[in-house]
Amino acid sequence: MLLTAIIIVLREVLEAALLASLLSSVGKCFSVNVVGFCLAILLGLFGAFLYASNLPYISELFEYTGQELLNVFLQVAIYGCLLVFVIFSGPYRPNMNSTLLPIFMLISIALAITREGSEIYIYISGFSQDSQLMFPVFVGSVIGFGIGVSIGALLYFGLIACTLRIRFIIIKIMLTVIATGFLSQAVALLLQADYLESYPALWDTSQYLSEESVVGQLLYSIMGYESTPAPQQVVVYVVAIFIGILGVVLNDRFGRYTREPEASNKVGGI
Amino acid sequence: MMLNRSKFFVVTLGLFFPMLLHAKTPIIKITIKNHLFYPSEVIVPAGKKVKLLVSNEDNTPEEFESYELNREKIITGNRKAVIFIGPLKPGSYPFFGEFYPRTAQGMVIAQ
Repeated sequence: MLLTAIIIVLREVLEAALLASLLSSVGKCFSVNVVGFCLAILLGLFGAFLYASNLPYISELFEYTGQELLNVFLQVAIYGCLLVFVIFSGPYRPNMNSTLLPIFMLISIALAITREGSEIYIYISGFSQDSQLMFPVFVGSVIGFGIGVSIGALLYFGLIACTLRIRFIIIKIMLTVIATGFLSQAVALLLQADYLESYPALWDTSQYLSEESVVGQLLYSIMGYESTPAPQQVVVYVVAIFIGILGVVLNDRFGRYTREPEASNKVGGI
Repeated sequence: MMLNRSKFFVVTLGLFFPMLLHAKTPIIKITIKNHLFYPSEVIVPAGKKVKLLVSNEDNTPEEFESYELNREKIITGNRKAVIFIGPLKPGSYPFFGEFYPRTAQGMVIAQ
């Protein structure tokens, strides 16, 4: 039970922790300080509590597809916010959206914490009545949380050691992949709720990398890895990555910037 | 040439919009009790969409999960959930309860 708790909590925390680390490592570029990020985290935790408390009721809405619809909404919203950030952010201060970008950053963190935190809350609270299992579940959860946050911290410190230019390249690539992973999960939920027609999986790589393995689960958290993906998931994944790349290239070519040479020498996070 | 193009168009549309079903979707009931699935083996027709109606009769939440079926849903205590699976190729597809994985284990057999 301890191991189960570690893996469950680690998986959920990792997604949110990676997001928070990536975004906070360039917080200074957009005048977002620790207070802003803490606010986003608190908002996310409150959202997680709201979601978890109302899930029994929400799940039965829309002919028992309420849970899927709510999760799809959250995941598409996160994808949208991250896409805007990836396309319009840069080491040079952008002319447009300089006040909007911090909003998209903080909203995506809050939504990710709502999504992941709610599942952790539901999982742990399920054991509140069980005095025998509560202890290993709680300890496992703390360990899983610690591992997830540590990985996030490692990423953060690794990023702020890079120059701003390299940092943004890494962040844009990782955020595009993470955001696309969220979108791919949303597609799976729509199939589950029968809003999309189901077809056999396009391929089966479970022999090479099983989703059950630790690496498989971590890749699922980071990039939405599926060993048996539905055709729609693959299509959406490829299109979403393409949109991200296209958006970055187009904004790079045609977007308006105020170039601040000093900014490219700044090293530091929040 | 024209026939192939329109077939391609219809298939692409069909991927993203639910088609009208003329056949009724079979409903299979599964119960969660004491962190076990009843029945633990579920036989479904291969090649057809199936609606699973999972009732959680425990007071605690469980998460119905299957890597092979690509399905994942939280079912809170004393509530029901609907999960669509299939159409499946003939074979065995394990599922489990993520919150109590040692005991809550089951198998969907498509034949």
